[in-house]
Amino acid sequence: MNKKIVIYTQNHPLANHINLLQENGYTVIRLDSPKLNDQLKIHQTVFDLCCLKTSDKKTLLKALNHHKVYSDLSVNNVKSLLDQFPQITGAFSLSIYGNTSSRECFINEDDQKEFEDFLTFFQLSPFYHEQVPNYFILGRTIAPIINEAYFAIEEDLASKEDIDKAMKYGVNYPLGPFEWVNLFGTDKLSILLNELYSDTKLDRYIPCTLLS
Amino acid sequence: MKLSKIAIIGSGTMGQGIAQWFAQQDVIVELVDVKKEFVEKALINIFSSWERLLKKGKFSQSQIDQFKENITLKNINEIDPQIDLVIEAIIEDINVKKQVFKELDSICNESTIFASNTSSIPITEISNELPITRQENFIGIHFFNPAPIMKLVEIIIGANSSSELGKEVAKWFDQHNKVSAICKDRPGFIVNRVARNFYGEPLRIVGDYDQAKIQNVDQVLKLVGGFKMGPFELMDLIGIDVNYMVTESVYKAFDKNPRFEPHPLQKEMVDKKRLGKKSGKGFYDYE
Repeated sequence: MNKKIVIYTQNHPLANHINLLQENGYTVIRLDSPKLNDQLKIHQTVFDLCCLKTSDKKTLLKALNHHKVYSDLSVNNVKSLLDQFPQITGAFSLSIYGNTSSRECFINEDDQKEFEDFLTFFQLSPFYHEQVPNYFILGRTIAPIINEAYFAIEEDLASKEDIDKAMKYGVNYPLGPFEWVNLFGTDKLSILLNELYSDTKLDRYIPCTLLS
Repeated sequence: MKLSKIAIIGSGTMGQGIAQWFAQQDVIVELVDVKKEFVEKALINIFSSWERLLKKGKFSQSQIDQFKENITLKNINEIDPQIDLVIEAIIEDINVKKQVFKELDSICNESTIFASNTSSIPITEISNELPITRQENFIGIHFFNPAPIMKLVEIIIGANSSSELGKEVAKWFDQHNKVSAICKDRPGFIVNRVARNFYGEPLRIVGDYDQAKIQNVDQVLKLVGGFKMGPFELMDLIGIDVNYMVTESVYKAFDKNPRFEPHPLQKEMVDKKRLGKKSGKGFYDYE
C-alpha cells in the first residue's frame, strides 16, 4: 500500500485546515494520538506538519526511518537534519511565512510533483531552493526583526501599533512585526531563535522574554 | 492644533523634501540655509519636482502656482518670530545643531514648536542647553526620504518634551495624509533600530560575498516574504557605506549589544569601494 499520512501538531498553522486533506484521501493523525504507531506500520509516505524543537523532531524522524518523509523544518536546522535523516525526501517551511502564497522548500526533483499536489489543497505554491539552506531564509530573517520589536516593547519605546505603522510606512514592510507574528504565533519564533542560539552560541539570538 | 507658518532650517535633500511637502499642505514655509545659493538651488529642485507632478496629472497648474507662493527663502535672522513650528534638517553634528537652536531660541516666540529631523542624535541632548520651557516644546519629527512621498513621520518625545505636544503634532500629521508613530528618545528610534536585522541577518546567511546566495536571499524575501525589495538590493540603493554607518551608530549607542553588531562583509564592501548603485558596483553590478 502507498497511502499518504499527515502527522501534525496542534500548533501548526495548517492544523485548522487539516480536514481538507482528510477529505482528499490523506490519513490525518495528531502526533500525540495513541493510534500513531499503528498508522505508521502501513503508510509509506508521510507529510510531517509538526512544529517541534529539534530534539523532539529527531525523535519523530527516528520513528519514521522506513518511510518517505516530507518534513516541515521551519524552526530547525534544515541542513543538519537532512544530513542525519536520509528518509527526508523534502523539507519545507509552512510554519513561518509572509503574506504571499509562496513557501520555501527543498525537495528532490523527482518528488516535486507529489509535494505540489499536497500544497494545492492550501492554494500554496513552492519556492524551490537549489542548494540546501542551513535554515529557511524568511524565518531566519524575520525572527530577529520581530525579536527586536519585542525588545522595544519591553523597553517601552513605543506601542505595538506604532511599531507596526513605522515599519510598514517608513520602510515599506509588507506587515508590521506584530501583525506578522500574529499570522503564525510567537512560539515558532521562540523555538527558532533558541535553535539558532543553540547552534551558534551567539547572544544576538537570545529571544526576548516577551516572546516566550 | 494649527500649523499656518513654519520654518525649515537646512535645504539639503531632506530639507527640500520636507519644505515641498508642507507647501503642498498649504502651509507657508520659510526655507533657510547658510548660503543663498543653497536655498536657491533647493527651490529649483522643488519647482522641477512640481513640474514633473504637473505632467503626471498629480496636481493642477493652479495648485502648483499656489504651492510656489507658499515657499519663501530666508536667512536665519529673517525668520518670522511668530512661526508655529521650526524643523531643523541640517548635518548630523550635535554641536552645529545646538548652535542653530540657540540662535532660533533668541529669534522665535516661546510658543514656537522646535523640532529636529535627526535620525541618529538624541533629541534630549540637542535641546538640553535651551531654557526648560523651550525643552518642553522640543520634539523630534523624523521624516523618511523622499519626504513628499514616504508616509511615515516618527514623532520623538525627549526626556523633557511635553508628551501632549507630541500627540497633538502626531494628530496633525495623521490629518494631513501622513502616518505618525510616536516613540521615546532611544537610539535609532523605531525604524532604524528594528530594521537593522533586515540587513544584519541576511549578511550572516550569505557570510561572504557570493552572488548566487545574495540573489537567492533577495528572491526569497520578495517572493515568499512579500518585501518590495530584497535586503541586498536595498543596501545597494541606500548606499552600503551609509547603511554600515547607521549600523555602527546604533551598535555603539546600544553599548555594542550583539543584536546590532555590524557584519564584516559590510566593512569589506566599503573598503573595496563597492558602495552600491551610486558607485556602479555593490552587492550587484550596475555598470
